[in-house]
Amino acid sequence: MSIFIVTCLLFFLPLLVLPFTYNPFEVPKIILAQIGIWVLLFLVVWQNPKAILDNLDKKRISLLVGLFGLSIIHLVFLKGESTFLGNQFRLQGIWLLWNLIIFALISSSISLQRVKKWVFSLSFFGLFLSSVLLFNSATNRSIGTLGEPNALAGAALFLWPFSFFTLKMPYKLLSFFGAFLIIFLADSRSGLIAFSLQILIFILVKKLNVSYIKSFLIVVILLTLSLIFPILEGGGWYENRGEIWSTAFSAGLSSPIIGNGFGNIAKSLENASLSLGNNVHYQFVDSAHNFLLDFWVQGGAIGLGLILILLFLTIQEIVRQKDLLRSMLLTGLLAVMLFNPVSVVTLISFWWLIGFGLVNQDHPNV
Amino acid sequence: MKSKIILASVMALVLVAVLSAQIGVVKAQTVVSSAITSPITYFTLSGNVTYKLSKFLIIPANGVTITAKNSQTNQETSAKSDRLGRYSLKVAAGAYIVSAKDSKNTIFSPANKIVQVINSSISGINFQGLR
Repeated sequence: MSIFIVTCLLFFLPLLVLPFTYNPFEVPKIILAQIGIWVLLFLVVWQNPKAILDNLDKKRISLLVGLFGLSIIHLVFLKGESTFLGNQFRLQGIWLLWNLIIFALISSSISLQRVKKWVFSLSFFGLFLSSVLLFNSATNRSIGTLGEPNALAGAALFLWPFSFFTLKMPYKLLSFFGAFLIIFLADSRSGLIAFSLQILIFILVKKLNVSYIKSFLIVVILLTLSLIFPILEGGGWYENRGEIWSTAFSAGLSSPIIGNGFGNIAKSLENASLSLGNNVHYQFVDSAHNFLLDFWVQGGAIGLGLILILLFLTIQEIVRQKDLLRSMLLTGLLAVMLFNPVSVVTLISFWWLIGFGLVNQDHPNV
Repeated sequence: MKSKIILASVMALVLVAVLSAQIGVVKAQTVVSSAITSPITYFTLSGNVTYKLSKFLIIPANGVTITAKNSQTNQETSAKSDRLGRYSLKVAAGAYIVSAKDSKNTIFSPANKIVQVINSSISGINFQGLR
């Protein structure tokens, strides 16, 4: 049952669209993700919670405890309208953060080895089909079942490697070209950067026999360099990202140690924009369009530090396990998350990977 | 066993309570928008407004209201020209019908202009009033 729930959350949640108020793409996914996570929690509590805890590294769990503690401080001292439940668009408040932490803890002990290989391909094919059929009429960019082009690209970047590694030639190439086509139809430049980096790390490790550490270093350097694009490009979509990033940096400085509170990012960005006198406050912006800046604005140096350490530990574990699949997954997700707001689908995938870095024994490979 | 049932019941109650609150938050939304907002940049529409008094006498038009109406959302943005006849408007990407109007119902040429804002500002959207 646990494997089934984790599989649904990772591979079928992205395909879910339900008619619900004005937001059929994101909100139903969030509601069902939370239900799924709590069913998982219930199963753990009912069966054998000790087995999960024994599997986790106590020192690494303390980082999540730190995040939890920080969120409690925010709830007590920095509570705003959207702190606990999030805003009406993305519900990304403290409650969702707690759910994601729980998911990371529980899913770390659940192997996907017994999942049938056709599940991965079916999921990816479903996403591909939706990307071909569902477009945003105003921008003519594919939105698929995610409702937003860059979120669609993020989902594709997570799903296609599973399909790629479980299929044989020539079907492997179908997943490769399928992912490229999805990113092309979504017109997602961050998706293209992410896809390129995924291919790069694959070539470096698999074909050129470069070590995982060096490969990750190369990818991180290139990814850091690519963050300059939005700042350099004058005009167009990228110009706005640079403006939002500078606004987010300034917003974080207003409370640099503990941040402005999880869930309070929209107000923080608006206030920073007003003091900077830029255009960001003319539009509702509830994300720094960079998940690290999101943590900086909301959690300050403590929040940012904790998430960076968690990320480092995940990379460390991936390198130790020589896990090429997770290398590609993390590379793709990071690249997309550093340029865009994150959907709950991307968050579920990301925290599943973070869970991988929390265990204290070898994982069976997918 | 009993304690597990109680714990499960409490968990279910908490979950239902929070989900109900979340659904309440979402239902308060009254605007259609993408959940995961893509960056939206504001671009400038600008130009000059003049009055043609005679064949050889053209003067800047001060205080003329320039309106840009989004053809999809029908949302209007307006600005007045300055004493040198210059104006500028901030708009998001989209298709706009730009028109000029003054307090004396002067006929302007062109009557309106259709502009497509994609990823850059547009200048040179000029109007000339015939007096």
